[in-house]
Amino acid sequence: MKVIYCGYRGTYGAFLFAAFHLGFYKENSIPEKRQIEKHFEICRLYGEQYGNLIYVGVDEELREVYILGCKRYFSVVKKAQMHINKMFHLDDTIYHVDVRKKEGILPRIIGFLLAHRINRVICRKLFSYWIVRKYPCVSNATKTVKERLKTMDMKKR
Amino acid sequence: MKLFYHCYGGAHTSVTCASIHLKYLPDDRIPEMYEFKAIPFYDKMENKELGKPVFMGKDDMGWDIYVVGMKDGKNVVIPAIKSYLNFNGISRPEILFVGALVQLHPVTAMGGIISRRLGLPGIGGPMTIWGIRRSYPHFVELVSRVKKTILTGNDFY
Repeated sequence: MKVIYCGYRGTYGAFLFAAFHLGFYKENSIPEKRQIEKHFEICRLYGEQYGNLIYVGVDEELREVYILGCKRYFSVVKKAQMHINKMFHLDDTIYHVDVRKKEGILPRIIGFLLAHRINRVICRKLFSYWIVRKYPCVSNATKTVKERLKTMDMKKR
Repeated sequence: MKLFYHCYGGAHTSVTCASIHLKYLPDDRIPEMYEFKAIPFYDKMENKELGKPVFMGKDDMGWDIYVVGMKDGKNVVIPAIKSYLNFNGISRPEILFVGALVQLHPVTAMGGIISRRLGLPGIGGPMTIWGIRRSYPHFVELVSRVKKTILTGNDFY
């Protein structure tokens, strides 16, 4: 099974969800400054990669976890990938998660500022503020996603 | 091998190109209104179906011809499809995307909005046909170029 976390940009909310899913970020402890800075670097470098599926890792149930930046075309991308899956007879289930609502507007602002080369220090501070603010809600949302995936697996078996 | 003609709504220009390609429509004259109305899937794609490739037929070179609506997100949707296929080990030359929004007549665009978005196909449908008939030679030229270069595997964004 492939789990694809889709955000407006592929690396902000989508990566945060994927990091929780794979256990890179722990539920009750906000990551260290160094970790936040690394996440920020990923966003800075790959934030503009719209439409490119990025592999993040495999979870404990051997599901492959990906992230994808799909701007405002989530439903189109989802439908296209689902049908391509059937068309090429790929025996793999895909589960798309739309994280755009949960990640909020701030990643779009940070991404815009970074793309226009506006002071990186400000962007980093905004990013730290965003990650700390979103941490509990994304943690809970990822738990819900994992439970849903478990239920799906149970039903299949 | 699969060839996808894509446009905004997957209902008019892409269907026209696919029909010329499959010889449902003539390439030596401008077809009449009733000939457009007789094409399967012309002015039929629903908004909720955007992203879903629709099979139109098999051409004389053995390619499967599809039409797909991508809104204005081709720069996101096409890489999303290609990267997904890439992760599944399907090579690039097996699929080809051709943008069908060439020389789009403004009346076609207006007709498309009236028909598909406002849900008035009785008014919008004939407008799209009127506009497409005006720019029909461009569609014929595009399709002939596609047929000539089909083996090179280049994309027609």
